[in-house]
Amino acid sequence: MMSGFPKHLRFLLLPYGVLLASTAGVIVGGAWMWSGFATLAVLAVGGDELLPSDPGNPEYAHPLLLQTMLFGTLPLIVLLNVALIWQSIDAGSLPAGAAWLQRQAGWAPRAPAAPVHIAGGVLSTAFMVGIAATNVAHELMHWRSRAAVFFSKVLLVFSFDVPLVISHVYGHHVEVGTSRDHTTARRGESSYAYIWRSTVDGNVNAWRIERQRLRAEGRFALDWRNRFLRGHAGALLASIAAGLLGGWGGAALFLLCAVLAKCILELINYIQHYGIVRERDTPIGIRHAWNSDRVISTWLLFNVTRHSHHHFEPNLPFWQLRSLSDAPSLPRGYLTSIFIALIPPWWHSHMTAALLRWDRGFATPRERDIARRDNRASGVRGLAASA
Amino acid sequence: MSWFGNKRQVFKVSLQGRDLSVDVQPGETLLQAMLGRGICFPYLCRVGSCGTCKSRLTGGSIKSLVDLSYVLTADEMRKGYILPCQAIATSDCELFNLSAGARQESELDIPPEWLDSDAS
Repeated sequence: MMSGFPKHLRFLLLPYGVLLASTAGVIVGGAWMWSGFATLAVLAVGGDELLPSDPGNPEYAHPLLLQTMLFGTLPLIVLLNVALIWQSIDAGSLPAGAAWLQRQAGWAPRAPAAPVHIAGGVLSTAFMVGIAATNVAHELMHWRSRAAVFFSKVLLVFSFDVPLVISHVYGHHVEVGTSRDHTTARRGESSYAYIWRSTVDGNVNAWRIERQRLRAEGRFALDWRNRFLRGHAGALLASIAAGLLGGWGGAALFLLCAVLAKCILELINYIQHYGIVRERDTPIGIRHAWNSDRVISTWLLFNVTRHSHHHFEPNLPFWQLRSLSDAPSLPRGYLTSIFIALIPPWWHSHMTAALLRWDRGFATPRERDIARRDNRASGVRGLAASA
Repeated sequence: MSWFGNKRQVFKVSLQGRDLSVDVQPGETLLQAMLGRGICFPYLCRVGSCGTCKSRLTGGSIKSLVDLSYVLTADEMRKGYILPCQAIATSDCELFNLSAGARQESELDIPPEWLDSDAS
């Protein structure tokens, strides 16, 4: 009955290991507020570097467990955000929501945590929203059950990113690799420029797609059914709730974590398709994404590192995604890569050889032409020299 | 055990005007069934967003995995258009699509191990 059960635990490492540790750390307070960020950084970078890669494609006999465990992330993410705001409250002058909680539940905030500890709490929370919440949200938005998609949207409220449900599925999955895709990073584009462009264009695309859907149903763009506007309204409500609980400081903390979390998500998007080229209106193939078999990134990110297979069969649940031997591979693990991407010159030289290999080994003749043009325009010396 | 469909019935999908018919395994979409068993069918995204595989259901019934309102107009839905990449068969069914037909090996970009997905 429980055959092969232990291998299921790898996917519980993020929600019930790192996320739980982050939440507990922020609740305990003091230097412990750094625990989430520290655990993640050490585990992800160290683990990916030191542990052997795992291209295995095991069968998981208990999918119900893997489905159900996803839903525990929401209460933990809510608790983590509330605890962080709670740590910032000055016991001397309680905001309305905190005073109410004190009357109802008898909780009294301690003196506000020191700024250096709050900083650790912010980083831990931002990484957990950007990695745990968004990762689960990504899985659920592909499930195609109304309840799952709703759950996905609630998780995305914490990074002001509910329209991702529209722009990811109806934009990115159609346009990946082409110049129209806001989620495909261009050759030579820095992660900072990309985060800004992808965030703005992602919202613009979601708005256009949603307006088009409403128009086809004979409705106006400003209809109350507009999912783009409802999504952002949800995030606004959550910010107001944060403000009620923690005053202006609480709302500011919530927003800061949301913005940082969105940046972390965009960093993952950045490395997933950096420099990949596809001609419009040609089928999406396994060559149109970067993959990695490093174990910790694969476990923590629920197999999203098997990204080529995800784009090829987007409706497969995460535990059925396979490592494909003939798919393009990143030189380092996903989570290590996002840290490298923070230093653009390092990232660009780091990826030059991989891109040139992609051009030679994966691209179609037409894609090679586009890539050659992109290489010339990239401003990256190694790429421009080859063009 | 899973929250997803538990029906284990095999249906057939055929193409109107072509002498072609293949099995659809439980949980498989019509597009997967056809691509996996030797029929060439137009597609791009396989996530129900691009509309490349759009076809008319001329017989039988399907369940759509997606909200079709992002891709099909109300008129198209009334006329029975569906997205085979998001369609689960609930009976034997027949599709009409002029671009579909016998396989042209060289144009498929599918890893060979997926071509016969009977095992899954």
